[in-house]
Amino acid sequence: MRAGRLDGTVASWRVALRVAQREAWRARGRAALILVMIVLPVLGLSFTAVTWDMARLTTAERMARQLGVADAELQMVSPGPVTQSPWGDGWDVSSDTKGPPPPIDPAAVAPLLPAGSRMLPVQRWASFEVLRGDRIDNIVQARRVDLADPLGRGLVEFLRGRAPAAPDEIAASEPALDRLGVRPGDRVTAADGFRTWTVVAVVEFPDQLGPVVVLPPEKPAGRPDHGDGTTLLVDLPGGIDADLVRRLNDHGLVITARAPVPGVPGDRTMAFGPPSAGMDLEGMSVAVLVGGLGLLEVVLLVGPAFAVGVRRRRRDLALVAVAGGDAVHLRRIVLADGLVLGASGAVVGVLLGVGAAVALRPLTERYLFQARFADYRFLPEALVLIAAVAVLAGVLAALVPAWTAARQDVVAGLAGRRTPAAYRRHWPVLGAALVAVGVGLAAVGANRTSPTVLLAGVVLGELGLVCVTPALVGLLARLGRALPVAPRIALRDASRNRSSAAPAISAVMAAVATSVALGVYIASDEARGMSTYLPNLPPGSVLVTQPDPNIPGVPDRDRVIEAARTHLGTEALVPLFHPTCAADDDPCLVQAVLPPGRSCPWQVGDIEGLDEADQRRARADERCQRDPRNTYDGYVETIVDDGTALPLLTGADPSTTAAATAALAAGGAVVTDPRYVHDGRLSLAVRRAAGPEQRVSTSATVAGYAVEVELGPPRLVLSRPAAERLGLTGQQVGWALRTGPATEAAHRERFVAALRPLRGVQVSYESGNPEGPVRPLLLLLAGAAGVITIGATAAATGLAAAEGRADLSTLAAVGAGPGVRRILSLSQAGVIAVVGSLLGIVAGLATALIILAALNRHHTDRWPVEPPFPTVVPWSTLGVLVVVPMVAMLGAGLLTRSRLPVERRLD
Amino acid sequence: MTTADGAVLEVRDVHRTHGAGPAAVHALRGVSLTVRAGELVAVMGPSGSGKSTLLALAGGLDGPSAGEIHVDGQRLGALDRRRLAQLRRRRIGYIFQNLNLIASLTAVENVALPLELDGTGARPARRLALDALAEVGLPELGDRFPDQLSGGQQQRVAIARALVGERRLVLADEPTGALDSQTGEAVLHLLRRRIDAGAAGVLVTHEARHAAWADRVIFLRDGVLVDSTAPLGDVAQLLTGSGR
Amino acid sequence: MSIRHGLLALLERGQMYGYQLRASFEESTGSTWPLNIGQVYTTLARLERDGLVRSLPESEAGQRPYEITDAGRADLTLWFATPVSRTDRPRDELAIKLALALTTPGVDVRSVVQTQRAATIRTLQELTRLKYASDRPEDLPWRLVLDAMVFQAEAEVRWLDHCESSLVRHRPTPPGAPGSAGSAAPEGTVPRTDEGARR
Repeated sequence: MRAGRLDGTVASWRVALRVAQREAWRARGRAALILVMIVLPVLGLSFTAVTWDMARLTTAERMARQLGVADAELQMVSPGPVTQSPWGDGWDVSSDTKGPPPPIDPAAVAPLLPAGSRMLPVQRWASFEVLRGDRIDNIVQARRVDLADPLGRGLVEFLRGRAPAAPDEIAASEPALDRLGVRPGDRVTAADGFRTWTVVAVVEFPDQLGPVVVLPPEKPAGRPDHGDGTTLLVDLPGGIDADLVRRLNDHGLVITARAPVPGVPGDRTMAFGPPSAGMDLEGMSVAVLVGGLGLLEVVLLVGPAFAVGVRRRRRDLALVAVAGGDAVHLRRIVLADGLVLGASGAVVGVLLGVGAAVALRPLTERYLFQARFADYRFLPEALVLIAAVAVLAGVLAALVPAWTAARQDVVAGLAGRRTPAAYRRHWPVLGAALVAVGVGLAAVGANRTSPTVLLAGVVLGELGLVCVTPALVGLLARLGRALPVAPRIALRDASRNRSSAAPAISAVMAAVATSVALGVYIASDEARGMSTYLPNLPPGSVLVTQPDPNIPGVPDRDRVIEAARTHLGTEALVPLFHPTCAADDDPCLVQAVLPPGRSCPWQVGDIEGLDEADQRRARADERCQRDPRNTYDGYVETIVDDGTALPLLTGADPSTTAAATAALAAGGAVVTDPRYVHDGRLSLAVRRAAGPEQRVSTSATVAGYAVEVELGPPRLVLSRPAAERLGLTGQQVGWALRTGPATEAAHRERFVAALRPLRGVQVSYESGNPEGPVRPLLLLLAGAAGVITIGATAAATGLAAAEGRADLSTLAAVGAGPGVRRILSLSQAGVIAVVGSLLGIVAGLATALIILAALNRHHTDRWPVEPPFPTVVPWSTLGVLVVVPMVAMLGAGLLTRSRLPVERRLD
Repeated sequence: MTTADGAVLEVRDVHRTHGAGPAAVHALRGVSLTVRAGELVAVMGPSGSGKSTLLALAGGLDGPSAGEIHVDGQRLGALDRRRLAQLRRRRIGYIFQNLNLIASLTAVENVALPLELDGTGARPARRLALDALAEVGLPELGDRFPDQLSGGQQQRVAIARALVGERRLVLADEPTGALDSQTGEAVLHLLRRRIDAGAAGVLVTHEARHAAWADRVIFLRDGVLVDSTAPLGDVAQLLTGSGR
Repeated sequence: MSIRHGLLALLERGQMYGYQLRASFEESTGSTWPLNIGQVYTTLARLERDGLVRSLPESEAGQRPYEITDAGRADLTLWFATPVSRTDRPRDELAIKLALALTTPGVDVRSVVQTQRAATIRTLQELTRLKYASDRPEDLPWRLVLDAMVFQAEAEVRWLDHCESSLVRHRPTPPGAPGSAGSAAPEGTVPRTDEGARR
């Protein structure tokens, strides 16, 4: 009995699959459309999976790459004995050893190694700054190793040339040559201009395909007291034994070999850094949710095609019902469509993805990973999972049409009449409920800064919107009564064919909403970051100083003037004085003292110790209201000046400068934080840095003048008399100057390069917020949403057009001009694209607002006050998202054959 | 060249060839036909005889390979597609066997379609459409969608659409094909009444009983007009002959 | 319709004597219309009297063949060209007429069919007009009578259509000289393949 039923099921599935296969062949266009939509994500995912797996090296592969032809690498990690891990990637230093590791000395290491061993020093990171044209380039990495030695040679692949032999010969990688604009045989000049090298070879490091050069080994000048990261590659004729490891460890050396070294218990994990256990729970759930969102998107995109298929085959399915098929059989036939197309898409997508990963491997190595991959590996588990998800997507997309098919009225189906979709009130209700729950969850998630909960909320909310969409389309159709014929037909079509229109609209909506929400969040975060950035110097000010105490004197005036005249269009130098403690060379710190009653009783540094009540009190305390951008708590940068350098350092306007200069002339001081000035007086103190505990050595109160400027560190300008009262003298440290008009970043870079020959000179200027804008990312997001919009619109419009061919004929016969037929197509596309985009923009903005509001609420109880997220709408993103539907509509309108679809119906 | 007196449709030596070379199919080979106001001409012939091609040509949905077609005094070949469409919505009513009503529009909207396409305001178009529906006996079903109407009702809506406004030429392609004989007869009755009121009509059918509603019946075979009855004279003659 | 025209049609194929005529007549009409030899000779005598046939010298076996005269041919052509009236024809005259037309040389069977069909459609049109004119409820009995006639006429048109289609496929196999059976749509098969291609 049970076996019989099983046989029946198998047979019925077999029939359903055969029908599905033939149907896919008969409706080739539609099947191809579905296939493409399934294949593309599968292709992308399998490409990523395979590429990732090939890029991920095993420990043995990594070691082979690190060691080249050597047997092992020795690294000095401590001045005293250590205990190492099997792979040499971690070690314990015995507790009584202190200090940094000394430089590794081959002569001292040699006796520890078996006889016949060979050694070669390698420095994997060396500093290398060269002139590229008239500017300094510090992008090119440098490694220091003797390539003439077989051990060194094993690290690289020689492409051209010979190993560098002389101290002024280097090898370079192709990207380095491109970057520096040189060919083999050319010379490159160091940034300070003191030395040059000849490129004699082109090499490639398998682990670094970026710009990199190989410098010849160099004896360090003098004997440094700590290492420079140099290691020793060693050739051990006798192999590695536990004795050797112990000997090396006793001398602070760690050995790394191709295999775990003997004599070390294998279960000891002393590796630094986070455990390489892969993803944590949070990352995993985020991945699952994002994947789920992607799956939903695919299902929504593919669903309409199946819905149309079912509508086309209404009669066939009714015939199956007449022949004795029950609801299960009908469902099965439609589900089999999903199964067949999902499986085909999975197979094709995986094959294409793997093929692309293999074929594009040289490019991904070079441009994405900048390192050679090791073996060809295909990560079959991931491929199987991806394929399974693709099949699942196909079946899920066919699920709703399958239910519809099973429920259809057989008699109506036979007569070719459609049964109008029953209006189900519970869907919109369920949808609204889901939206509400989703919003709540997202808010909670944002509040707890838990991306999982937040994303879950977003996904739930989008699912809810998907449920609401059909009802919304119906509502729109009813509202569209007064529209002209073409849009009215398009709206009603969408409403009547909700099973295909709603998923397409939902797909557009989901993509657009995600893009808008992320866009608003990123733009707001960026704006918040921008708002917290304070420049250090006024624009146009350049300081040329000599911070190295070992080099006496100030940067040579004439050279600075010459460089400034050449590159910055000015030659007016203002000397810059720093206060120094007159008595000795001990560094000392000048501080401005807050008047009593103005200092906040809580320290920002104590934030850990502040409970919520304290934070609330601090927020309420007027004394603790400070500019959240100012991260310099209590520190003031001090100069000694008579008012000439003041505008260059503070950017104060002329009248303020005049007042400040007057105050300085009167023997007072100027400070850029008004809190310090009380009744025109300013309290100052000097702390000597000598000794563990800083102590106030001198203090004084002088006439104070406050200048309010928007700059990073508060600045204190002492007049000479004021400095003297504190026991300080002004010592010139360099020059300040204001660049001429039309000075650009390139000019400043050339100025820096021109001053590089002056050793130790530091040039400071304001170069703006280092965190560049993230516009490209936003546009990329919008672009992805746009592609989905166009794809969904094109698919849905194509399907609607195929459905509406008869209507077009009728319209033509009734006397609609070509324009009307175009507008009909345009409107059909418009219903999908415009409704989807509008819903998406609204949903996305709402999501972002909820998230931002929740984040801001989260900050309202905190002290120190953090700047709230502003609500920044990325108009360029929204622009893209508004333009895309227009493009989709116009495309549909233009691509519509305005020729009469004369259906040559010969009877 | 001018058209004959009172001729609403004039087809002169029209050829229509699909394809070229050895694969060419000659759908019509030198067909001439004149339909005057108040005249209904039925076109009969076996499958593939060119009946529907003739109708498509007369409606400006297709163009002849050779020959001329005049509708209401205008030579179709001289009109661009826009003007052709305008002619169709103002002067020509088309009735199909199926594919006739736009499913997304209600009955009255379907009837009002040519008027609305021609720029008539929504309100007057609706009024005229309701009148036309009343004329075909469906005054109260205007707000139903096609799939809520029976076949006969749908066809009557299609006729109302073909007749609404000032149509001079009604082209009907097997309008009774999907209907039972009583309903079909009622549809033809409506058509006949409209023709008697001054329109010209061409009725493509393969049933003699339906063709008999016409004043003249022409026979097509393989794209050639092979036979045609003379216009009907006095009915009373038959009354005596039939011995009533 | 009469035996007269039937015999004239048979003689149009060539000279025949009485028994031959009777056999051919029965063969042509599928034995639906049995003749006795007396009827044949009586009719022949009348035809000879009217100058439509002429008798030839007796053969050695004592049989007298007859042949058709020009007047007889004219009479025969007129008969073929005249549609059978619904009101005054015996039941199967149309069928017999077509059957004979097929086997009689020089007769364009298609034009016979078309002439008949035009006439029948004319009848249909007239009946339809009558029906159209009488749409009062009390006219129902009359309309039903008209319907009866309409359906009969329609059946006849259908049959004629069918005949026409069959003629297109017909390959004449004349008993006598080739090509004597008239023109049965020589190019008939070509359009049919066209039609197949067009679908």
